[in-house]
Amino acid sequence: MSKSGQAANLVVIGLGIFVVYHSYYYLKLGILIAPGAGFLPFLCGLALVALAVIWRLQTTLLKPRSKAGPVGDPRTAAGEADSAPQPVSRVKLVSAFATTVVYAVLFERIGFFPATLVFMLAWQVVVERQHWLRAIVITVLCSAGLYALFRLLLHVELPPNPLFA
Amino acid sequence: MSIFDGIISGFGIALTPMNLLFGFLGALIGTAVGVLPGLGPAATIALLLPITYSIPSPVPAVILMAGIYYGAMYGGSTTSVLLNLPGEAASVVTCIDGYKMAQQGRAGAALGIAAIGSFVAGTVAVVGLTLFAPPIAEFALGFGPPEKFALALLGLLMAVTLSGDSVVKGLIIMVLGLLFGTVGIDPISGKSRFDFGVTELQSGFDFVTLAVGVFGLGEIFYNLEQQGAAEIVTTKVGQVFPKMADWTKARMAILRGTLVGFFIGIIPGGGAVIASLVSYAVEKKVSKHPEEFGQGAIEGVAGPESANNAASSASFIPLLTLGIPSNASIAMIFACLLIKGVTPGPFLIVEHADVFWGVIASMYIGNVMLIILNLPLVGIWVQLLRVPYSILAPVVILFTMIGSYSIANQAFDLYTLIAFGVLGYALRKLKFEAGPLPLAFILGPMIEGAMRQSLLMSGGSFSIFFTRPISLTIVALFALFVVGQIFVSVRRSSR
Repeated sequence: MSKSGQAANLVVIGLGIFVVYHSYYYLKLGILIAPGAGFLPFLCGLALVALAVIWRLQTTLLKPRSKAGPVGDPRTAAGEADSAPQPVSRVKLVSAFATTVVYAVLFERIGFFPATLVFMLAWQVVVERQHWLRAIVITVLCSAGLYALFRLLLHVELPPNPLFA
Repeated sequence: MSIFDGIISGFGIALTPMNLLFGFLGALIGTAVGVLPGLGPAATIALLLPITYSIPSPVPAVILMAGIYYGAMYGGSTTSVLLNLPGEAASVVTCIDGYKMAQQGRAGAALGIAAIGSFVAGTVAVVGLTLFAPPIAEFALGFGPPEKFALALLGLLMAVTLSGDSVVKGLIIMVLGLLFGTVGIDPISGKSRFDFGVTELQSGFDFVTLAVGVFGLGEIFYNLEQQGAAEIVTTKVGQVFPKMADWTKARMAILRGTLVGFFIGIIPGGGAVIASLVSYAVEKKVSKHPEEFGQGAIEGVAGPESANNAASSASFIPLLTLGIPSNASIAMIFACLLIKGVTPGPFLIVEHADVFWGVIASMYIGNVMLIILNLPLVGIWVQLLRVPYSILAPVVILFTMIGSYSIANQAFDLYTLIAFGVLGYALRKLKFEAGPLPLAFILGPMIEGAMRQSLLMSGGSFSIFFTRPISLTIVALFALFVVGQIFVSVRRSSR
């Protein structure tokens, strides 16, 4: 099992134990004729712990099967087509995630349109490393397009800029 | 109302200008989604779910969503053939022979036979849906809480065991989905569960936020990390109408694919992906020239593409008759019906006959629209592949944010969305199948309610699930299924 797999396994076990404890002591199980609010979560918590232990045992005790399937097996051939090794870009991912969080923070504070301008510009410049001029054009066009679609066409309630509200 | 009367009234509903427009939009968006790799039908339907709030009636909303679902099956073959990259999961197997055909200069024939096979299979499956759905719904009218509990649990467990490579991982996701479904005020005791003092959590997680986060945002984060360098084999697609020799080879494959897809599609968890894989295996098995498979055999495109379309149409049967969504995309359509105040299940045909027959009739029309969109306009879809991901990704993220915010107009949902996005990304990275999560989330409250009612009826005894004939049959079916799965895995490991 990979390190991330091991971490996920521990998270699932921890979550299961917490759910069992919380359901038993705070939500209460009730009786069989009238199960309480904690009955189903309690069962779910037990199941999570049991399944996480089985998952762990499966990956550590059982011999890992060869990754290559039989020749001509559609799963094998399709898998090759689908998941050819590709380099990963962590910097891009982290900057995209940060940009998205900033957008969520700004959304109600400065209003939809200014927040979308900031988001699109940050995405084009920081995440995609686009040239400034191209970034500005894409930002303005996309933000205006989305405003037209959601606010003007679909009449979706979007937060206005507090200065103009 | 007889089936004939029902379908006639359905066409009357589906042929109104508004419903035709929504059917066309669904087919158009579905094809585009199928063509674009990295954005599947489940994610797209989830993204568009908030828009259904502003659609006045349930019929056009469901017609739109259904169109996206089966439209994606048509469009998925384009990228498989031209890029060796499946536009959506059910077209993975089309890459094998479709891409080879494109390399041999027969891209047009591959795309043409895929579209024709999809049309034939989709239409035949809708005929099956028309004929089988009403009697199944009538039979299910007699179901009480024990039967509902057994059926929902059976459907969920079958979906989990069939949808991914690891049953244990699938079960973990299913339990996680059930847990997410318990967050908020318990409808029976009135006690708030897992809200940790956060007022917004007292009403529970919203399905749209969960689905959009896991399938939309999670998918975008995952794709951003992968820097693919796929190249289009050819932009000259050529003649898309198959030659007589191709047609002769493919017609039986289309027929077999249709039957395989239809019967697999009815089974919860069966779905389009398994149908296409089984169809490929069947075609290779019955072929007089199995060595041609993997080298550009047209049957290897015709069979699976027919199967995935038949399965996608057939998977509406358990939804419309039993209220059981059989895969993640159908779970989104289930949510769409709930948003519009319609509960899917055996009463749908009685209480909302317009929705039932209108959606079925729209699927006939949608298939005709799709073949028109896919055969002559294939060149335009190829051009869609040139939209840079640097524009597509942030626009999709903005769609997810606006969609989630618009449900309750609270910024809290944006943070929940990002959290589910991180979960979706983690699931992809750890090779977990995310499909069972929305299924369990949506079926969880129904399972819990039916279980509590059943225990109340039986005075706290679980024997109620084994003493009533229908629930006993369902439990027995499930036991058979489990034994079958064990038998298959033992045989596989002994080889």
